[in-house]
Amino acid sequence: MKASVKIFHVKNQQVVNADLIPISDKHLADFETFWKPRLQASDEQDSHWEWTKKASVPRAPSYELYALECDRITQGMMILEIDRYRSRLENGRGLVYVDFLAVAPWNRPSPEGPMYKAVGTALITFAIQRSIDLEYKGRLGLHALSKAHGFYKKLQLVDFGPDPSKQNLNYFELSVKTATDIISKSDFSR
Amino acid sequence: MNKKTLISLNLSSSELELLTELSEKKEMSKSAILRQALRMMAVLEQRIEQGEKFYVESLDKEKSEVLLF
Repeated sequence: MKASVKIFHVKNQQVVNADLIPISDKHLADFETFWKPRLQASDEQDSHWEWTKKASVPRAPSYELYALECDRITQGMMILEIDRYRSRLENGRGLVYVDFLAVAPWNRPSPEGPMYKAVGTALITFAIQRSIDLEYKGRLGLHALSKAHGFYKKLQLVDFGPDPSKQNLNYFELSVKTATDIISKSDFSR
Repeated sequence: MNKKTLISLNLSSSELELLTELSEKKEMSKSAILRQALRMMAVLEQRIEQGEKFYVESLDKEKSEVLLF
């Protein structure tokens, strides 16, 4: 599964093409070389996430691991679970669950500004498209770190508040209608 | 998005009825139901091969039943 998506190069003020592809050793090497030192020196909430370990766990076909690559560097990564979770908005209907999602440290808000914008949006839009492919109609669920709440609220995911079964992380879910709106404005609709 | 292959499948009337029922209940095509069932079965097989067991918990969470496959 792969797709070509568009992200925004801030310095050049230019929309550029990026590839969304299954995670490979190259992406994990990027994580170890470029992401990890910056994350570990930061107070980012995901600074302890070990993508290399996450990707090395033998996974059933219910898991899909993706990387967003641009300029031959990994700009974002995401793990989806496509069978196990059920919707809270629509009583028990299937959905795609975003298990983990992170953008590269240099693409996050900072005093010097991000290198690329819209990496997170591209990853989420791709996850919505996967949900449509799997006939879940775009339904999407996830537990979010507090710093990411604003991002998911902006995308109009419904905030169900803290979930005691998941370290009190807030559970967010995307409705079919909002998913349809997001996809209709995306590259996936063209 | 990903390439799919068309196959023919022999199902008994009761199996077809079950597939139709699930398809209607979950508002998914029969193909999507079968694909999901296949993935779920692969998950179960993988976990069983690792020596794990599956339990179904009752609503009061007091009783659990081991599932054998």
